[in-house]
Amino acid sequence: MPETRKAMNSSSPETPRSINAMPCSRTMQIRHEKIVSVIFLLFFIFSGICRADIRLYSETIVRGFERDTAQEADRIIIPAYEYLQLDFGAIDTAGFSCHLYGWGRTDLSSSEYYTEKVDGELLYGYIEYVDPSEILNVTLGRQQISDGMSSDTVDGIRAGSSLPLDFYISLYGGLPASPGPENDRDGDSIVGGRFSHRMGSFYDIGISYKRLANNDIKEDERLGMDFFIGLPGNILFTGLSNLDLDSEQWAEHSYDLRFHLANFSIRPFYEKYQYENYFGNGDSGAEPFRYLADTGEILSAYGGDIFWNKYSSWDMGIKLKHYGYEERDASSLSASGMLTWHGKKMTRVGGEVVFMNGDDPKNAYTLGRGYFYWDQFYLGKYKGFISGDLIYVRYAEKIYNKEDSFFSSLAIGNNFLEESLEIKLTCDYTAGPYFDDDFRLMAVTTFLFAR
Amino acid sequence: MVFKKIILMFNLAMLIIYIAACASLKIMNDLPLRHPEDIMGQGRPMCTNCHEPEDDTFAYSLFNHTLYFIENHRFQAKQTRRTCMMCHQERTCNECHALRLELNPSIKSQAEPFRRTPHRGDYVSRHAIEGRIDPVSCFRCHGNPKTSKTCGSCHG
Repeated sequence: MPETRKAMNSSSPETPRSINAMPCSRTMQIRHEKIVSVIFLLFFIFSGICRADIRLYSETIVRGFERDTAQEADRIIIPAYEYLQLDFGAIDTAGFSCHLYGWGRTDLSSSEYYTEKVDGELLYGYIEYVDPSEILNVTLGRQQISDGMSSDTVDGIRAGSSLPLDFYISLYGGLPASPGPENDRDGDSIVGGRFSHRMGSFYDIGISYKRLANNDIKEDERLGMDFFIGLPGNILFTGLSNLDLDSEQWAEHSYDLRFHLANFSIRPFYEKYQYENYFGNGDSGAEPFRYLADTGEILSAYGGDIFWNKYSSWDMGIKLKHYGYEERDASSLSASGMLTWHGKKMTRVGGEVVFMNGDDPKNAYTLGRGYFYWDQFYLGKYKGFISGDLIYVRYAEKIYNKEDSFFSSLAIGNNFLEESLEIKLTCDYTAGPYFDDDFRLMAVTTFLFAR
Repeated sequence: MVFKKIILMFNLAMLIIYIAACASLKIMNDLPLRHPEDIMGQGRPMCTNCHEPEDDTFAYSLFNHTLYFIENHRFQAKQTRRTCMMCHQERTCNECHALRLELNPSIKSQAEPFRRTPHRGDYVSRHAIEGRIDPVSCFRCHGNPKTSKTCGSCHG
């Protein structure tokens, strides 16, 4: 068995240390979560009394697979997950509403596999207010922020509003949810926002700002710019740039053009990343990427994708991307092609080939894929679906003495109760460098209730 | 330090009040909260099937869910997230871009192979190649201390 397989199956050694660290912060976090839970519970009861809109989405997943654990080889692992989404209040209209989504897991096989991993997470949980004119939007709680160059989960407040003369502003502030007591961190704060001006389909230009601090000491400060400009001939020019204000160096440039020629949609693009500024090497950074920041590498990528859409039931696309590395003085090229046929509803049959080629043979592979999804498939009197997927990859240089890998999956599902309940069964098989023979099973039940 | 925090919170509160005050002015808003028609589950949504590609109010062609939309939607989501929310729920973004999911999207949506999720198949064997060639694509989802724990079990 390859060594890496064992390494993959063991959890991060950092976790036990961090769980015991910062007991005060941990206590505060638990208290904070309790307060939030009580607020949401009260709001939920209030919504029930007021007969507000309620939407409940439950996804229960039971998996079965075999892994080596620290205690036992070929151990059967049976985790059960519950992913739960709850929205209530004025969900689709102006007013107050609450939104929650999170997951929890239990191991039905009582193995040691998940011992050092967390058993659940609140992915978002916020109260939202939309004013009657639908211009102002305020959200309070855990939320995903994606204004301009920001891409952060924040426990805090965000407000966004249209302004006179087609200006728009959004501001947010709070505690970043990612670093925290379990990462031996405390005292982080984040503030940011985006200010933009839009003129119909002619342009939208925005400037965004983000500042991350730890105990009032600045850790990361960024300025971003994003835009789309409608050029003559129905050509759209879009772009993003991201400036590291500490070093006053650009971290990222991403630009593309989108236009149509006959029945082709064409998108040439150019991207440039300075690793030192893009990945950052501050304490709030993520470990596998910190060392990349120290390499001083500059990655430039260019290429394009072409999409043919003459017939609504057929999609064909080709994508090329060239990567150039200034520091290493090397390059790579990725080329892919896809063909998909669309049937009724979500029915699809498709195929894809990918060629990845680099100066170094260990960065080269060829991938072939075929899949189908047959919607409205009748199993007796019930309407459901059946789907399958095959992926074959051949590596130019062997990985753990294997030159290829194979993956296949088959799924079947049915809808009940006027499509509010769906049951899906999936099995998949993998053979490759990391797994000689790996069978996995999964049963998924989704339930949607809306009032 | 406490005084600085109070000042910061005060400024934030004032800005939010300012935004609220601005919102009370008469401003045209050309996007509804929800798309007037439910188009989910009806195949690939192509806005320009019903709307003019670039009429005077909105660049609809930017939001056509073409073959490559799932790979190229970053710009649209960052600039006009409200447009996405006309049809999608917050959960849609969080199926991939969440704080810590444990089950990656290719496992969760294994029954829907048309979604072309990036980790499909024997990705663990490919990930070293992809990581060497384009670490930026890894960083976008695994670039914070919580999400990078997935990488940490081997690369910690």
